[in-house]
This record gives sequence, C-alpha cells and structure tokens, in this order.
Amino acid sequence: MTPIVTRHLRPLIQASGLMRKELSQTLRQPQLILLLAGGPFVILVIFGLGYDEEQLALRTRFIGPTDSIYATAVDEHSDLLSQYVIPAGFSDDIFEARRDLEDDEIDLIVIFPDDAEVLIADGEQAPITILHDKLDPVQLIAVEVASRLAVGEVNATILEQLVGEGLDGLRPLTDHLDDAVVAAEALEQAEREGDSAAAQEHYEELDAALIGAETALGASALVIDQLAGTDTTDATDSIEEAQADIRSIRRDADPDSPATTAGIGQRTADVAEVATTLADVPPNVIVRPFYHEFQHLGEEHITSTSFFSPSTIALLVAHLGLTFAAMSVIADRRLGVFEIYRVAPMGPGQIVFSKYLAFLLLGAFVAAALLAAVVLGLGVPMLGAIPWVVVGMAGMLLASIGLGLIVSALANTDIQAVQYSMLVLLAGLFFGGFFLDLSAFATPVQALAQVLPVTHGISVLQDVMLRGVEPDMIDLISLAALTGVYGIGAMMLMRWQLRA
Amino acid sequence: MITDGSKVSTENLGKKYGDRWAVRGVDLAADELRIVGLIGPSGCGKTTLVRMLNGILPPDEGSVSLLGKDPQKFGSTDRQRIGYLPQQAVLFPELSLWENLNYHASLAGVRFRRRARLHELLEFVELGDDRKKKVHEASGGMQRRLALAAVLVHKPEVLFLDEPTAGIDPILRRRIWERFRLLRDEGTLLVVTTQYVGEAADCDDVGVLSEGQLLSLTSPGELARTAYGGDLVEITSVDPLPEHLVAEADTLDGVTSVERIGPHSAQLVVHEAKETLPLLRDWLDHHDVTTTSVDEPTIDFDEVFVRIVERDRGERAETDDDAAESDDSRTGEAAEVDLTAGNQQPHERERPLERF
Repeated sequence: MTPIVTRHLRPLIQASGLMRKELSQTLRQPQLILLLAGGPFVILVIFGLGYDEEQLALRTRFIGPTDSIYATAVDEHSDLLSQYVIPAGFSDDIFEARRDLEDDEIDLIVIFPDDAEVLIADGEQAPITILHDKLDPVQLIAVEVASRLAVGEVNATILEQLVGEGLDGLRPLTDHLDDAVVAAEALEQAEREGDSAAAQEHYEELDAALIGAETALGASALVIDQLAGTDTTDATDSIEEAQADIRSIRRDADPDSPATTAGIGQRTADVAEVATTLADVPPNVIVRPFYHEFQHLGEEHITSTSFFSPSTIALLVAHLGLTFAAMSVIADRRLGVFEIYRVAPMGPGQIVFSKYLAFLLLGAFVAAALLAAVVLGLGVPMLGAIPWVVVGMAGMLLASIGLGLIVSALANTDIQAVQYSMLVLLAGLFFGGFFLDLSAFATPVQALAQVLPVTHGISVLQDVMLRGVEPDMIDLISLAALTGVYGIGAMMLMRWQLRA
Repeated sequence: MITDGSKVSTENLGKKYGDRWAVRGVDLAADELRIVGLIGPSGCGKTTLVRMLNGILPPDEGSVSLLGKDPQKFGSTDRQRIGYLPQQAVLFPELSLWENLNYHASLAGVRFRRRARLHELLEFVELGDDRKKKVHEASGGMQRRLALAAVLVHKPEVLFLDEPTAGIDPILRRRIWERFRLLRDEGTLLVVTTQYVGEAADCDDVGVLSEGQLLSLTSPGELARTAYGGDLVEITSVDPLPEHLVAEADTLDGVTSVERIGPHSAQLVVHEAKETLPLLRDWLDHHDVTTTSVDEPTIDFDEVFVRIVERDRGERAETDDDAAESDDSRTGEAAEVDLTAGNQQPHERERPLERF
C-alpha cells in the first residue's frame, strides 16, 4: 500500500479533494458563472430601469351631471384627488368613458348618482359606482384603495362645501370676532352719545356676532373634545373661558342690564385677541380633520429595485445552493461515482461535508458578487452591518444545500431534480415573502414558509440592508435549526443511498 | 464464512433481484500473485459477483470473505486495501487527466509523495504527456488507461476490475494485460471480468460463469481439458490422411476421441498429451505417414467456453427432466475449486432449476 496519511488527516484530504472537483467542474463552465452572477444583476437593472412606480396611480374619469356639486368638487379639488388617482376629467358621457376604459385610455370610472338628493332626503346613502377592468390582484387592491380614498375625498369636499355655505354658524371665528369688535365699539360710542336707538341696533349686531363666535368656539371645542376622548384639554378649557367672557359681555351689553357698557369695546377686543389664539377649526378641517403624511422609520427611501434586490439575491442564492447540491449528487449517481464511494475508504460524512463546503464557497462568491453589484451599481442601500449579511447568507446557503441533498435522494434523474428545485423555488416566491408579506397567509401556510430557508434569508437581508437593523434572532435560529435538520436528513439519506 | 487465509473466498454465494437469482451457489477461493478471470456473456452475473466480492452488494445467501473479513463490515482502513474499477469508469469530462487522477487519490486519502505517485501512474499507463488533456478530449483507450491508473493510485492489495478492456482495440488490450501481469508480479491479486473469452489465456485462473453459476474455476489449460474431456492433439500430414488410420487412431491407448478437421488433419482428445504424443508419433511412423506437425494446438477459448456452457445446459436439461419426474430439490451447488490448493476438476453437482 502506498503511504497513507493518518486517520485524522484523511477525512480532510478526501473532503478537500471532493470539494476541489465540484468547484473545478463548475468553474470550467464560464457561461454558467456568467449566468449565475450576471443574469440576476441584468434582470434587476432592467427592472429598475423599466418599472414605473407611478403606474400604480390610476387614471380616473368622473361621471355625473356636469352642473352638479360633484363637478365643482372634482374640478376645484383636483389637487387633493391627485394624491390618490390621476384625474382624467369630469363628464356626463358614460359610454365614452367605457370606450376609453376598453381602449386603455383610463383605468377607472367613478360614477356619481343622478338622484343623490332623493336618496339622502330619504335618509339613505347614495352609491358611487366604480368601474374597472383590472385582473391583477395587486392592481385590484390598488383600485380598491385608490377608489375608496378618492370617493372619500369627494365626499369630504362636498360636505365641506355644504358646511361652509349652509351653516353660517360655522363661519371662521375671526369673522365673527371682527364683527363683534366693530359692533362693541359702535355700541359704546352710541351709549356715550346717548343715542339709545343706535345703541340698541349695535347691541343686536354685537350679540349676533358674539353668538356666532361662541358657536364657532363651541364647534372647535367639540371637535377637539371628540378627538381627545374623555380627557379635558387645556385648549377646551381656554375656549370655555373665552365663551364665558363672551356670555359676560353679552349680559353687560344688554340695554336692560344694570351694568354699564363703558369699556365694552376694549373687553370685546381683548376676548377677540385671546379667542383668535385659541383653536379655530375651519369647516374644511371639521369635515376632513386628518391628512396623511408618510414617514418611513428607515433612513432612506426604498425604491422598488431596492426592495426587490435583497429578495432576488436571497432567492437566487438559495436556489443555487439547492440546485447545485441536488444536481451534483444526481451527476455522481449517473457517472457511477457512488460505486467508487461505496468501496472508497470514506463515509457519507465526508461526501456530504465536501458538498456543503464546495457549494457554500460557490454560493458565497455569487452572493458577494451580486450584493456588490446591486449596492455599488444600482445604489441599493446597505444600511446595516455587513457581517450580519454574511451570517444570514451563510445560514441560508447551508440550509439550502442540505435541502438540495435531500431532494437529490428523492429524485432519480436530472429532470426530476430540476423539477423539485423549481417547486421549492416557486414555494419561495409565493410563501417566502418575495411578493407578499407572510402575515397575509393562513397559519398552516406560514408554517410551511418557515421551513423554506429563503423565507429567513429574505427577512435577514431586508432587515440588514433596507432597515439597517440587526436581523431578527428568530430568523437566525430558524436558519440554524433548518441547517441542522436538513443536514442530518442529508447525511442519513446519503448513508442509505450508499447502501442501496 | 470462509476464513481459510485466502484473500478472497466465498461459500455458496448467491444474489437475487426480485425472485430471480442473478448469482447462485458460487464457491471460490483465491490468493495473491494471481490473475483470476471471470468470463461469460453479458448478463451472466459477472458484475454482480464482483460487487458482492468487494462488498458493494450484500449477498442474499452464502458468505464472502475478503482479506479475512466480511466486506460488508469493512472500515475505511480495510477499504484502503482494495481497489475497484467499475464497468463504467468514473471520470469527469471537464477535468484534465491529472485532475481526475488527483481526485481519485483524494478519495483514497493519498497524501505523501502524491505528485510522484500520480506521475508514476501516468507513465505506467503511458499518459504522462497527456496529463493536461481534458477527459472529453481523450480517446476511449486513453480514458480506459486513466481509469486503470485511478484504481491503482493507492496500491491496493486486491484489485477488482470489471471488464477493463471492454471496447478497446486488441493492441491496447494486450498492453493492459501486460500491466495486469506486472501488478500480479508485485503481489496484487487481480479479479478481472471480461467478455473476451480469449483473454482467459492471460489469466492464471479462469472462472466460467453462465446464467449466474460458476461452472468452472481453474487454470486455462485445465479449463480446456475440462471442455474437451482431455488434452488436445492435432495431426497435420503431408498427404491426405487415410480414413482407416483416422478410425484406427480412435482405438489407441490414451486416445478418447478423434475428429477429422480436414483432408490432411485430425484432432484427437487424449488423456495426457505428454504421454500420448510420443506414442502417437511412433504409430504414425509405423504407418509411413509423413507429418508436418503432431502437437498440442493453440487453445481456442471461444470453443472451450461454448463447450463448457453447452455441456452445462445439457446437464441442466437432464436435471430438469429428473426433477420433473421426482419433484426433487430445487437447490444446488456450483463447482468448488480451491485455487490455493492447486488445480482440481470441478465436482459433480446438483443444478438448480431456476433458469436465468
């Protein structure tokens, strides 16, 4: 026998030899390497250049009577509506709108009812109908959300007009207070001049203005009270004090009151000064008290390319690990290498270990190349610490390689192995958090997602790269557990294959 | 299990796939410094037998002893002592000849003086100048030689070679057999299967397999004796051989049978050629027959093989008839030959009724 190394070194020599073979075989195929590293990058570049996020905003035609309140609301508040949809005009021609929808000139038709006042007078809500022809579930959600928001905005706009025009008591507070100051000064002047008729007239003007101001303050207090819940706020306390002052002025200004009107003008001016500093809720705020303002907790705006890059890399690297491991074992079987394994002085441990080592190195190389390309080339953020990316990717690769080795035992041919790999890839696409958030799925499906290495890989990469935080420990523990379970499974199946 | 000191031995060894026996009732024993050839047609059980001998397949009946142990229980140290060249050589097309050989050296755990060993082996199989060539660029013959080098990388004591010369031209086959003899002379026991019956002459011992049974395991010469029922002697005369002399030859002492094979020649089966040849020459002189040769001919192993297999089939047919009459036992034993104890005639044995 030729000199053989010691028992301790031999497994390492064997594993390194096997690993070298796997790597050499792969690296001898430059097209494959180019495909692995360059293909996904090119796809991401095309995606980044070609995807228009604005396309999610829907071109919307509003339909209703042209001289109606709807037309005015849509016309005057198109800037507000354009936050949700792209207004494409107001018309009373539903047939033309449908043709435009069919011709893909517009995306949505919002139809206001002709007889809204009849329904509302009967105490019923009037329907606003929305027509569209979208099939894509994501776009359907966009249609629903955008149309709800747009209709809500139209509702609010109409209500604002009604409130502003119909309810004079809800005129702006400052208007009432300005009138009150003028009337109070005139009253005081008439009293000094002894002109009781003029004094009576100015008293009535003052009283009406003060009632309007008190009512406006009351409306503001009501809105603030409702929003604040049961707690009394400083703002409402101040309003109530101002209201009390107003009532006091009204009492003292009354010609039948024994109190003098001297200084009533100054008192009114003082109250006006205080009241205008208090909450004055105008009609548009009363009917639309909130507006939205997006503020992401992350440090950067995440574009679609940035969002999909980590998921794409995770998916590709996991698929690479799984497919290469599976195909490697199948190729070994096809070439008859198992015959040699069975008589070689080595066990399943060295074989499995060498596969892990080879494809971990290969996967790490591809992952590093892709990450560098998307970060440096596409500007995808890397907000967190790179070592966490390394840990996450290594865990995902190891678990995927283990899964690939298990797949190889179940598949008899290359084609079967490819089909199994594609199934795992599809499962990763649908349930791994690539397109849809995991929380959207039922519990059993979420459980299925947990056994896919790519689920945790995507989560880790998104946390570290896009959120700039440490990865969720549950993901890291899950990857470690999957690596262990799949590794043990792979070892057992390799032992079984060597005996079969 | 046989543990008689032989490097390889079996006892009533059998393997079946489904309900069909691929190999059954094989007893053999072989030691070092020998080339044991297993010949037989495709599907006769050669590969199954070899895979049981080296421990890849567990037997369904009987036992195997390899290097004194059951190969099914081999550890890595035991496995370092054996080598196996499967029918389908394990070579990776994208790798060079050197890389392929290096891979096999890694599998075997070879480290010390590894480069020197690889160079030595490539020279041994005359591939030293082609070591950088990719396997897919190498000819079939080069690939076969490389596969042979790969199996020798760790200098195994026992070498199992499954059809190592299949698909190779006669010149290369001869060179490969020369290397087998060199390995044997260095102390390696080679167990070689082949479909080329003519290669039996290159073996020290030849086992004839047919339909899963080892019909015979003996030296090539003895195999011919078994096939013909004695030694062959061929007479070639200058003038046509008279018919009455051919008939008379059949009655001579030590002559079993005579067959005219041409106007000037006849083939005789004799008990012992060395004893009969002088007597035969005297008898021909006595009858004034001028001969060009009276000698043992070169053995046609194709003919030997056909005779042995046909005889076996005939015996089996008879056994079938007997079995049909007596509903006798369905089990049987194959030839038992201990090569370490010298060449022997195969024993008469019962034949199993299974037909393969």
